[in-house]
This record gives sequence, structure tokens and C-alpha cells, in this order.
Amino acid sequence: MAYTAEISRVNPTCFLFLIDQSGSMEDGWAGDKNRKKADELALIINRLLQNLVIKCAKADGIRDYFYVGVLGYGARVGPAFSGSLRLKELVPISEIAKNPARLEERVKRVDDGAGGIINQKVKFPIWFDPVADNGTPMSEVFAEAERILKQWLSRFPNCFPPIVINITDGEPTTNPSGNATRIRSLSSSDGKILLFNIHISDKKANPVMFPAGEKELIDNYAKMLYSMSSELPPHLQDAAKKQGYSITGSNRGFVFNADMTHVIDFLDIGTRPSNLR
Amino acid sequence: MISLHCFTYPKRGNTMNDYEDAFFYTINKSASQKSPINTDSPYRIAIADGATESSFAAEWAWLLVHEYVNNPFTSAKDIQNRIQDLSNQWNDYIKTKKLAWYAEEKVSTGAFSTVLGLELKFQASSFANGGLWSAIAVGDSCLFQVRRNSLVYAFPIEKSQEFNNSPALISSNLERNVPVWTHVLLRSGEWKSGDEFYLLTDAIAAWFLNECEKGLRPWQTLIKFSQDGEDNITFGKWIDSIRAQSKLKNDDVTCIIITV
Repeated sequence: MAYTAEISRVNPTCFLFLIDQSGSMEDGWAGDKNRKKADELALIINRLLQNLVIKCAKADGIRDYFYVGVLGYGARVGPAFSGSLRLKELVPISEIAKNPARLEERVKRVDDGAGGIINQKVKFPIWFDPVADNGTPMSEVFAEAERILKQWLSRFPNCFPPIVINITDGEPTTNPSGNATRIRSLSSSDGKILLFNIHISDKKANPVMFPAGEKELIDNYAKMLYSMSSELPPHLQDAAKKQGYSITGSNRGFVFNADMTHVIDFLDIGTRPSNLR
Repeated sequence: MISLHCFTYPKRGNTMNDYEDAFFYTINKSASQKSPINTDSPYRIAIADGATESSFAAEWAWLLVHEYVNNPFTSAKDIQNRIQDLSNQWNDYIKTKKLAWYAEEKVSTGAFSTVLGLELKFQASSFANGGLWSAIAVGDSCLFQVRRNSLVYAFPIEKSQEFNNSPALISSNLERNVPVWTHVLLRSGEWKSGDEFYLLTDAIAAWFLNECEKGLRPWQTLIKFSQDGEDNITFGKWIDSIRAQSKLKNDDVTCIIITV
């Protein structure tokens, strides 16, 4: 059965994030002129990386269940990490954990255990700051992703299929559909690569999570990204249902004006208690 | 006479340093050794399986099995009343560690574990008369009772298809326990001289039930490891072989065999 390969340190899988750093990301997000799409993208990618790291954290350190790459596309196409991870295409999650650009202190509201809510200071790692410059060479970044993924698959042919998450406002200067199809056709022995899309729009509209059709999608960019997105395989559909999503069987890995942090929870690296949320 | 044998083996790709199950008992001072018993007081045995997706889970599992053996949990309410103290012990231990940002964040969600406790009580007159047992379970660690080469009791899971990867588990984070209390299960029964009890963590328990569902007698395989001359190394080799045949999920394995 596909999408059931064990994810472990001897058989890791990979996440490849493609982040839109084009000039249009300078525009306001979801109808809010004070918040740029680039700010929202930075929040999403930092939160995704933070959650991947925490998923792999154990008492003795980080277990390298995942290798992670981040390709930016805007003024240039290529690895987007800064600092000691600069120019690296895929790095073990433990290296990402140890090398955020900086740690910020933020306030989280948590239950005090006695019926009240208290503010708690937490460390929030930042790997990426907002960038918005030039065109949107989405087709080119997909071509680069394909090259990196082919290398990964030759190294780990039996891995849980890699997951590619493209985060964009969906205004490509080059048509990405052909290269997206090529990425989705790559596979390990456990199934085809999963290509998911996060659409960050300037339009004020309700968030859409893992739709099963185009009905809720408000523009052609959203429809294009939806059409390029992989269907959630049964294993991930089950996990999504447990997280409370409405799943009808043909839902795709696409979200509109929302994040996709829960996708990380869908992956099985061992017992995940039902009361861990 | 009663004998108790413990076998442990880590997940493939891990070492025993990564093993996150725990067990404790009041019978023997060392494993794989037959020992006379004191029939004036009950025997207690407990196993626990710390969840991979939490950190310091082995320490939490360790606290739970020791607590049960020293003073057995008698109900969901009883666990609820005592969990704060256990959580404090766990947190006190964590406070002695210097943690990186990701470890701090992970610790804030708490550690999670199953727990399965078994208490054997003896008839006052004679061991040969048997006695009563009682058990408490949270999660998917399992107890099997075998009599005269037949499975007579399976608790808390009776069919292999009931196993899944997300059981409700006891957490060191008290807020996470709200949905758990309805999943605390208690059972009791009788035992007779010659009965066997098997306390197994989920992977090997699922194998055990699968074999039963095929009409096989998996206890015959396990009991051989408790015979003189068998040891943990032989057990580990056998685990490797059934993993290679995809009969056993890759997970930490704990197997306790009690013959009364």
C-alpha cells in the first residue's frame, strides 16, 4: 500500500519548500493594507520549519526524520537559507534546529490549569524575513525542485514520498503547469511525490482548507494552484479527518489564505496520542 | 512457585538508549530468574509505553510503572487524584536539564504514555488454590491470560484491528488528560495454578492477537523464551526475524511473561 513507508532516521523523507519572493508579495494580504503578503509568507515558512523541528525533538536532541530544503524564487531562483545554511539545498532537520537566523521572544496565551488564561513568553525561531523583489519564475523553481528531488530519490528510493510545499500569491511570470506535472510524476517505491500549494492572496475571503473542488475558489490563480496540487492520499485523509477537516475523498493539498502546519501532524513517525493537539 | 521473565528490544534503527517503554514489578530482584514468593501480599507488575511523539516519555513511563507497583491505581478518579504529584516529579526532573529552544517547546506539550498494571492476589490457604487478579489499563499495552494452552482473557484490546496509532494516553501535562479519564479501563478475574500471564506493549500485542486470529498459539512461541537458557539476545534475534517478515510493526518491544 502506498504512502505507508516508515519515516525513520535510516529511511528519512524530505520536505522541499518553494517560497515566492517576487515583487507582488509586497502587496497587502487578505484585504489588509498594513500586512504584506511577504510578511504572511515569512510567518508561514518559519512556523512550518518550527513545527518540523519540534516534531523531531527528543530528550537527547533532534532525530533526523526529515531533510529540508527551501528554494526562493523572485529576483533569483535558488536555496534561500542564510547564515551557515546558505547555499545548501537539503539539510537534515537537526541543522535547521541549530541554525535559525535569530530567536525572538513572543507571548503565547495558555491555559493556567485553573480555568484562566495567562500570557507565557516563548522563543520563536526566525529563519526567513520577508522578501519581495522582481518577477515570479515559478516554472523555473519547479525545474530546480525536480532536479533536487531526483537526486534525493536516487539516494532514498524507498522513502515516504517527499512533500513539496509551494507558498505563493499565484501570479507566475512563467507557466508552471508542465513542470508541476513532472514533479507529481516522480515517485519512490512508496508512491508519487506530493505537491501542495499555499495560496496567499490580497483578496479578502474566507480561508479554504484542503478543498475537494474549485467551487470555493475565488480567482483563476487559486484555481491554477488547486489544479497543480496532489490529492491527499488515503493515509493523509484519515489523519486530516482526525484533525477535524471535512474530507470527502478527493480533497487536494491546497489551502487559501491559511497555513498548512497540520500537514506535519499528518505524518507518522511513531505513536501520536489522540490527546496531543 | 511463580516465575517472571522480562524481554525488551528497541525499535529497529534505535538502541536501548532510545527505548521508551518501562516496566517494574515486585516479584524478583532480577529478570529471568525463578523466585519463591511471599503469598501474604499481592504481586504487582506494570508496563508502560512512552509515546514517540513526546519527549522525556521514557521518564514519564518509568514514573507511572513505579507508582502503580508501589501503590496501585484503583480507578480513573484515583489516577486523577495522584497525577499532579507525578507530573510535578516529571517537571522537577526536566528542570535539572538545560534545554534548547525546541526541547523547551516540546516539553511544554508534556510527555505521554500508556500504563497497564496487574495485581495478583493469593488465596490465604494455599498457592495451589489460585486466586484473583485485577488490572487497570490506559492505552494499548495489553494483558493476556492463558490457561491449559488456550487464551482465556485479552485486555484491554481483544482484536488486532482495534490497534491504531493514536490512542489516548496519560500525560504529564494535566490539561491534556481531560479526554483520557473515560478511557481508563478496569478488569478482574480468577487465576489458577499453571496459568500464564503476558504483558505486552502494542506492537507485540498486535502480533499476538493476529496469530490468535489465524488459529495459532503465539504464547507457545513466547513461553519458550522464558525457559532456562533463553535470554534477551535470542529474543531480539526472533524479533528481528518477524520484523523482516513484516509480521511485527517496528516499535519498542516489551514482553513480560508470568507463570503462576
